[in-house]
Amino acid sequence: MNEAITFAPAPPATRRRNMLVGAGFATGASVTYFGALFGIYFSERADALNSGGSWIPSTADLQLTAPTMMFWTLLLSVITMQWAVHAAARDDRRHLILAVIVTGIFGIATINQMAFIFTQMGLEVDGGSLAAPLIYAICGSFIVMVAAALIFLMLVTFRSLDGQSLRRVADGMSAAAMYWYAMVFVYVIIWVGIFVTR
Amino acid sequence: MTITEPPPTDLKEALEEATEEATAGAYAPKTSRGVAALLSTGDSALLGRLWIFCGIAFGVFTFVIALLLGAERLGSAAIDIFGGHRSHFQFFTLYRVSLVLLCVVPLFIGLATAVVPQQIGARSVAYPRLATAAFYTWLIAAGIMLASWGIDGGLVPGGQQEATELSLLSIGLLAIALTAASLTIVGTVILQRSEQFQWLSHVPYFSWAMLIAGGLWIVSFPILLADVVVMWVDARGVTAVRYGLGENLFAQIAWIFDQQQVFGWSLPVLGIMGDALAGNMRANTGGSPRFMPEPDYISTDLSDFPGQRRLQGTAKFVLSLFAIVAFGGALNGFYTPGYTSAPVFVVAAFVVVLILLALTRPWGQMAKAQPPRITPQLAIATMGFLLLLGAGVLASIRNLGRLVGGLRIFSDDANWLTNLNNFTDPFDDLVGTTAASAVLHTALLAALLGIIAGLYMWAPVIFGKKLASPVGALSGLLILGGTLLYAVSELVSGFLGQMDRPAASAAENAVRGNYLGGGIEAANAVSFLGTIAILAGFTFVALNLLCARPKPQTNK
Repeated sequence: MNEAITFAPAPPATRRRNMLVGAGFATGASVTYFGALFGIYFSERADALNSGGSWIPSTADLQLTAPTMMFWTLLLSVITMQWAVHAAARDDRRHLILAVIVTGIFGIATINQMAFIFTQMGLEVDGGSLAAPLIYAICGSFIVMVAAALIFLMLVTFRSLDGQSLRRVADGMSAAAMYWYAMVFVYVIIWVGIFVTR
Repeated sequence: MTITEPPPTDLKEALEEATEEATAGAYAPKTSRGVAALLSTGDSALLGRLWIFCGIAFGVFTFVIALLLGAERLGSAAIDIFGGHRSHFQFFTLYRVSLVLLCVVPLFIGLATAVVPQQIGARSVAYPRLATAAFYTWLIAAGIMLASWGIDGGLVPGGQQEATELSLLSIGLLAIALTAASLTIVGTVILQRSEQFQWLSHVPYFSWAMLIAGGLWIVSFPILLADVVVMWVDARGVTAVRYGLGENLFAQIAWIFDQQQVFGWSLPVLGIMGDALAGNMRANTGGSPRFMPEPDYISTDLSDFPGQRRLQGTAKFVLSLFAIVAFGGALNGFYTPGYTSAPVFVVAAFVVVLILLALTRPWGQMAKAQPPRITPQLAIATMGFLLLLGAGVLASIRNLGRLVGGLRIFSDDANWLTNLNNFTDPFDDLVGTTAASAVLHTALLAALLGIIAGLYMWAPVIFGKKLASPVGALSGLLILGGTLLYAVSELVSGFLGQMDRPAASAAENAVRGNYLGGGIEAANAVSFLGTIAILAGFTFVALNLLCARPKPQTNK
């Protein structure tokens, strides 16, 4: 008798991409949130400038060096994030961990640079400027978004450390990457809209 | 080599036993009980019930405030009930925020959490932990919100700063929780539907409507959150500059109570109407209604009826178009003061009516081909649909002046323009009056009627008990009648110049001259009667829900 007889349960149906879909909607909600903040910022700035006033108070010191450094840092993080996604898809644990650590360092550096900008720019919320509360609301929310992206990335990475195939967490890594890219996209608008064009 | 093979049946049993041992054995997690089970539940039916019970409790609270606000408007000379203009405005803002964020939207989410998984053949919602977290975040935020208003917070000038910040925090948390809850429902419809629904558009009406409405809410609540964050950051300073000033707080979130967004909150009523119609069409087997089967509102697919799948698909497509004109996040009057003249705002009011009328065509054809059984559930759902249509008509009346005024660009005939101006002047004056309030209440009470219809349709699967249909019909009639009284009187008082919101201070009241005399007072008296009827109808539903007996188990 060489015929195998099994009564094992049927294989589960193809897994739907729960994490990817959920992260997609969460990303959409986050981008809408920042879209609303940018809408308020740009409309208020246009009103202020059209009425002949200034937008950023003369006492403030919004330098471009640190925000530009942040831009390049985040641009590099896009590459390392995609490296992590690629490593997960190829079941390459060593590269995955290396890529995630580098991406994480870029994320932490971004928060650090934003904190530095806060201390250096000399804007006071109750200093009479309409720009100050909006800039703090946008940049503060951005720090929260970076922190959320880091936590998401960390959780997905922890799931990959159990010794099983990394392809199992490839969806999660793609979901984390999607959120990360949206975060970088949001920063590009902050960089151009707030710091470059002032 | 001899191979001894056990009989297949024994092997199968052995495998099943081994599987049971592995899943229910020592490694299986211990089942929580009591409060721990309630806090950590991922059971969508239980979560749905929790949303619904809390939504109804907050709803009764909300309509009691509405009654007090209505009573206040009866007296023109002095503010009696609330002890001052600021307190009056404080309760007014509490009423509006509660109506949307603690009552109507949570009740829809509760219905969807319990019903949508059953409609699409799923075991639970897509993200059960997120659904649980969303509910408890919402509940805690609701508690914080009521407490903050109670300690002189809220969205009013001159409140305690810490309490005001607490109010903003709670509204932000409510927005986050409701976004997360919407995400679980949308995710459930997309990810968890059974193989039977190969195409997304084949899911029942309510699931489809919640997919569309949930998507709309996922992009609406973050905008509310952004407004709240800006207010909060500004309010944190020693002196607020603009956004955190007490007199500007309510104006920044007023868009969630205005056309178009109110239609966005009410959108799922269309899904309930569709399921009520389809369920009753199948239940009509001819002959005496006494011998007809109970309508099935869970599986409302009519594809085995000739031509019905196409009509159902058309109805769902039209329903989706409704979402396009039901997004109000881009129309914030605080940042865009002239938004009521914006073409997109004016035209959308008329498009709402056109879309709802277009929806009656496929539904009418469906009902013509297979007449539905007339049940109280269908009657209540139809009332909800008609009220929503009424809200669209009221919005159109509110915008008629603007639309007709737009015709000025086509002619330079002086006489014609003078006649046109005479015609449009009364309509132009409706901006900022209770005409806007009439649209808000008609749309949200249409949603409430839809929710009541849903409760009576799905009570056996949500609560395991059947509600008394005559009570539902009576409640529906009370709410319908109350809303008509309320809305028509608000429209009339809007034409007479009564402002949409009460004055926030005695000084503002003196400037505005809010209560102008006989005509408005009579209209306010009628709207007060309407509020009594609405509260009575809603209370009947709540009592029916509490007092209904469990459905007897039958052996199949």
